[in-house]
Amino acid sequence: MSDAATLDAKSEKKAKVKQITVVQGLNAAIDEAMAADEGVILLGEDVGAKQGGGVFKVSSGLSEKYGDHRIRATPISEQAIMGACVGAALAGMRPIAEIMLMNFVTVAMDQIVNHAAKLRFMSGGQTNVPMVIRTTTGVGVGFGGQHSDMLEAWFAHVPGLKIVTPSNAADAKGLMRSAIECNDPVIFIENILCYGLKSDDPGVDYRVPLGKAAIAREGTDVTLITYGRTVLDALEVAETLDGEGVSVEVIDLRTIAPYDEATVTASVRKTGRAVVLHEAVRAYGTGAEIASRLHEALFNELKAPVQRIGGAFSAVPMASVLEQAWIPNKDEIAGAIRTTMEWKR
Amino acid sequence: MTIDREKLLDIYTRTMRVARFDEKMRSLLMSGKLATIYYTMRGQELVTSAMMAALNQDDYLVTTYRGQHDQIAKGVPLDLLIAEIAGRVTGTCKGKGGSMHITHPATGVMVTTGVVGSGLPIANGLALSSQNRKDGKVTVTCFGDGATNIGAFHEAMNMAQLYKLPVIFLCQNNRYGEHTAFADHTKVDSIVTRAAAYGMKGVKVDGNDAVAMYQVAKEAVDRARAGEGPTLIEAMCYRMMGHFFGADFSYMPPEHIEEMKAEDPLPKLNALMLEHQFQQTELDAIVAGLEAELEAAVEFAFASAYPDADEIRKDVFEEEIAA
Amino acid sequence: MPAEIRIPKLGMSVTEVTLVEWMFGDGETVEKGDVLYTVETDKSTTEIEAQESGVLRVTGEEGEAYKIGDVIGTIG
Repeated sequence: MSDAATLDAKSEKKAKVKQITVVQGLNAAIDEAMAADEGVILLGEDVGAKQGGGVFKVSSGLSEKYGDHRIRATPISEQAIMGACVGAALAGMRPIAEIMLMNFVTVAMDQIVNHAAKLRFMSGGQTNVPMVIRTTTGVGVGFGGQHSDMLEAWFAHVPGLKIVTPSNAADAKGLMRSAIECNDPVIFIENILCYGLKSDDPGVDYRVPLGKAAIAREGTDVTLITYGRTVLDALEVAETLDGEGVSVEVIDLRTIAPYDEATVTASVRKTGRAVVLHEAVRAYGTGAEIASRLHEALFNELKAPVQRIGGAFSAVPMASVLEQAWIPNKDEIAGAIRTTMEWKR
Repeated sequence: MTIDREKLLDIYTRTMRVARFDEKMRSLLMSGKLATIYYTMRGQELVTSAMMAALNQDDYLVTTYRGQHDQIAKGVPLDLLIAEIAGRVTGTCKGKGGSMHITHPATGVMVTTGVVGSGLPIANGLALSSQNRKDGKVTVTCFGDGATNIGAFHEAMNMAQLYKLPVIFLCQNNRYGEHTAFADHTKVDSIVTRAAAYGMKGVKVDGNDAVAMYQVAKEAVDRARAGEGPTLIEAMCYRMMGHFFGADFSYMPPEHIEEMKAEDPLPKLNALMLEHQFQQTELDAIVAGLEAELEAAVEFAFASAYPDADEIRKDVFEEEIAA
Repeated sequence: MPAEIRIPKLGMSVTEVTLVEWMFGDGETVEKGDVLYTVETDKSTTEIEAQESGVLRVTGEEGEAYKIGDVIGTIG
């Protein structure tokens, strides 16, 4: 290579935007929030420096920076972790409860459902619970039935909780900051397979508003509504179908509940067709609520019934071949889209 | 053991305010003028008053559905309390919480829970905030013997001692968990023995002995404020009626009922006051004042409006739910 | 003005009770604290005490079923 060419290559490299992973995005959001507000604290198992900065490294470096009184490693005591965060929130702090795996929220359900969700209402607005419950889950790593559940539908059904999940690193950062600053309890679902996903660093103090969906890909024939890891599957399917002449609009809800009904309805009004996709079990999932609302709002304008794709109705199996069969795959997603395209009234 | 006369008078006033309130509530319920679930605390008027007399107004309280005595002893105004119980918009919680969820941050009453044992982990959180902020506040969480067997109790005890939180776990052992006698739900003789299991200081006291109870409470409060960590107080008392107003309590053996009557804190306290050279006329005047306060509060409550249906859309989130 | 005697709420799930017996008759004088009437639910029989003193007026009938809050008499 000539000298001029080498120089060009070097400056191109410098001009390239820095990339961050989902873990880095979450870590940065929490770090920036903690720097800005002394009331932001994190409680969870193994979160301190002594324990390695979190099992997924999300709290890496934070206890060294802010101290053990703000990054508190806890015993294995989900009820105590959750209750302590409820109490600290009532006193005006902004605590983050880390529940290692989403299946373990079941141990803390009383604190989440009977307390965090309801205290603002039952106190007549005198107190509120500005806490974030961070938890990890996801099918596909062979963790089996008690370590893979997506339980967002349960929580969406409890008035008073907001539920959020990012599909990329920039959103992870922006949603986390907004969740911490939200004055109501937010359940922040992280996907175990997505921690390594990279996107351009959105910068310091980046925020993504809660309750606002993102149009991940524009299209005209059918709307594919999803969130979390399955956004990636949706985008791949959309690309494939584009080759077949089907234009798919992909919506990434980002906030699962309360979801951006305006954006979703406008999109489906435009396309006339919708498919809702989630990794969580299909039966009684959030897809049922979204599909139902679309039917109520757009019955006469729909070209086909809203389709739903979700996980199989069983505990997530351990054997890899079964686990893969459990997960909604791209053929199923494409199939659902084709169903709406081919529907005859 | 001695006690400051002024402090004793403070305890007496709180106790009698609770006692007259409870009597009034039962009367309103029996006449049918008020129809609501109500967990009477007859028999526990003194134990809570001695505890609250050791606290400052801005110390935090977490209590339970059988908690009006704690709330009143802490300082929640009677008019706002009764209005809330009567489901009026002028109540502490605009009628949306009721007797089981009385909340009044101005007097430190941060949460009242209807789920047995759930208050303890939350109390830890309030105490943790004080620890981080170094604001000098302590948190008291009140619960019964029945709560000491639920998981949340054990998790909270361990965490409180681990972090040396400025929290006081006040177990008002009234000898019954719902309809089940203590010996039929717990295998240890005393709840206080559980403190040692968590490395925590534990004290057992006769909750109906005003001086002893206040002393124990004050020590626990001072320890917590000084950063020395939590205390479990097992305060013995009696639940002199059924689980809730109207409940049958024939499952209590006659000997127990006789014992309860003999240990009634109200005549005991009155005798103690006289021993400390208070005049009966003085005490009666105080009670008359409390009764007037109570009458005014009841009148206020029944004259108040009910909440509008659109209150249902408020306080679910910070933003109102669309109609 | 005479005070109403209403059927009280006696438990979490009780919505209806049977008025078993009046301890006093229409026109008699009652004292606050006297056992005034008894009711029966599916759980038990309960004595209800008068919360006022005065002349009793009876409107509720023995043996009849009443709902929580129903007025069965007055004391004036």
